[in-house]
Amino acid sequence: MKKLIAIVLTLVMLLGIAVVPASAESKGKILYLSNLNSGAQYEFYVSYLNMMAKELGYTVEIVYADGFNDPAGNLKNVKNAYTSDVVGLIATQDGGLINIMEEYPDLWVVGFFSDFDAVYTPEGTSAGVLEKDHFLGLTLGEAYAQEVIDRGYKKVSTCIFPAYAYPKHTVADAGFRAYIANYNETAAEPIEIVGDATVLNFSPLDNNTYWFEDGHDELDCIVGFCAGTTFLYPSVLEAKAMGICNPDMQIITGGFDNDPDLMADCGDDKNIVRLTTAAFESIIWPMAMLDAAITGNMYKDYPGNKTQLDSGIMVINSTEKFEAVVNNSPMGATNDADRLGLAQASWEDMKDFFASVNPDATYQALTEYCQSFTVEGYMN
Amino acid sequence: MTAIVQEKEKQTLQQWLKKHGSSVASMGGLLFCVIFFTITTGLKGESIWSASKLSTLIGDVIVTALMAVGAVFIYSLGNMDVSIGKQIGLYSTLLVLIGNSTGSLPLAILACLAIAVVIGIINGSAGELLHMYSVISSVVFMMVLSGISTIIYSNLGTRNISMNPGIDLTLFRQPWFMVLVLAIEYAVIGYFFYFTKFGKYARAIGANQTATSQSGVNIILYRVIPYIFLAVCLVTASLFQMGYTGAASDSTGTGFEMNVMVSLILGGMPLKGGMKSRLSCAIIGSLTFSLLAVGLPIIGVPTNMTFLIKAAIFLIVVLITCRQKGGALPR
Repeated sequence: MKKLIAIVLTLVMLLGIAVVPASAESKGKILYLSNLNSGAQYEFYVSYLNMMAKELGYTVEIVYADGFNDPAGNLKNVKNAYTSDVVGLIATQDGGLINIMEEYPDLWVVGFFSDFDAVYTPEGTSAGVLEKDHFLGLTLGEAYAQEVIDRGYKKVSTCIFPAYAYPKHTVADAGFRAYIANYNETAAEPIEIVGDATVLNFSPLDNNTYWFEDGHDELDCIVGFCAGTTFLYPSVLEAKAMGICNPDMQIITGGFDNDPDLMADCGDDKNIVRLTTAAFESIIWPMAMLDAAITGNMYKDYPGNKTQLDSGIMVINSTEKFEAVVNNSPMGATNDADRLGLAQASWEDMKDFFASVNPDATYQALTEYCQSFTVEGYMN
Repeated sequence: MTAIVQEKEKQTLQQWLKKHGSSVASMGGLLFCVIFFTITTGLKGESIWSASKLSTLIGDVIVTALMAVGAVFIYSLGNMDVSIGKQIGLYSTLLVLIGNSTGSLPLAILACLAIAVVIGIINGSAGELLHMYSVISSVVFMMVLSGISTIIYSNLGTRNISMNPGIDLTLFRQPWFMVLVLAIEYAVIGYFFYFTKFGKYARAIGANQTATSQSGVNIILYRVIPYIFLAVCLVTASLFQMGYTGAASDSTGTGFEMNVMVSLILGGMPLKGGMKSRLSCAIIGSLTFSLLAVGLPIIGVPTNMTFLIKAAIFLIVVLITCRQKGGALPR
């Protein structure tokens, strides 16, 4: 028994020594509550945040958000990761954010990177965070252009996620229909939107039923307000292989996926003709806001807490643009050095927008800078 | 003479280890985690025993432990219930909905208890009556409850619902209250598990159902009763789950059945059930599981690595357990 205890204690000591030693003096730790845990976007955000944090004197720890945005799950994950040196939180989900801010009233929080317009606005499900003094705001990306009209499609349909989860999809769908209706009033050949929006309950388009509904087999295009690269594209490929849909049908959707096969199928004459996503570099904004708040150097022209910001939008709707994103953006990179090197803004470019670095930095300039990133930036 | 005594002592120790090897291993695992995290978090300038981290630890362990204590009864039968997570989700939702509409939490609890008992009775009896593995009926319930949850939240037009601020839930966030309730539940379930025929027959059924049946035991009745105990434990766990944030969502409880299974296995619960089933497995396993969840991030292990480490530990324990003679998965 003595031997056993000795072995256990030795093992504990050895493992203890092996543990990473306490970090060097820093301004504190920033938690990034990430709704992604893999993929090109995730890798880039982690690299970019770490780079900015290193320059500013922070450390960053990734906390994976609850897969279903469950309040208790997010609270538990943040609490487990919380240590005495945590000073800020960048949250990509709203579930449990109120509880997190109640648990840690001195923690600075920025919401970022999701369809949060519906949850942080006064009528939204997390409207309570607007009452908190330490809530700074969020970025939001949404753009749906008149691609359908430009490309000459005559028969289209739309897909959305459930309204209770993504209310903005329903709004976008209504806007899309109104825009097309307005166009049809003067168009020589009107565009037909087949049926109501198909609601995908976080599962792929159902090939067993969808194409057999009236008019769906003749569609020229599906407009996916949902994450179409995941939920539409595989089903459409399968449907085309089975010959149950229009073989020339194309997809307009949001999101990004750096799967080589999928990216090779994006372009004017390919299956996916347009992807819309928030500018990757817009993560500068929450970091700059957190740093300003933590260091007590808040922008003099900051209009007050709880502001919202639409980030720059990447509209990838031509073969050249798809190629630019794959070859010239951080999304095509495979290591941190390349990711940072291919980003549209280096630390030298962005540092003057940080209030702790440049006392003359303004909120107005920061927001304009973060909204300036477009796909064209990778083409230059 | 001395040699004979020594040999006898050695044999006694070997027999004791053979009998209690699993308990020693699981307790040793917990002890190792306690010592390890006490030392290593200290090296990082933190303490896992600080008031805030202790509160986090208790908050992390409470729901899993409350569920696991009830689930010991089911696992001792050699069964498992995969609808646990969805049941927690439904009860949490109903607690909020009924609590908000009536203004009475006790009424909401009673309603949940009634539903939980009905589900328990069906879950417990279906296997025996329909001559199928009991886990099948729990799979059916998992799917049905998932559908009900989707319908509720679709109709509500939201993914999250919050309890009316008029209903005070602060008690359910107090660590002392969590510990007290867990202790009471452990004592009550422990009494039934060890000192009444409910527990003895449940373990006997897990060990050898045919022999137990031929001894005159009503198999259906003594299969149903453990599920009723579980039902009560699940409603209790739901109270703390909902009380933690004062909210419920369409994903509340997702994956909890796996947390229970992992905790029980880490605690040394024999997968095939039977006479070696112990209630302490629930507490030891839940504590070990939560210590890993709370301790690893403090010592600087990246979050994605904590999943890997927990998975590796689970895999090792399962491999050891399943390679034992007569080892079997619950059904």
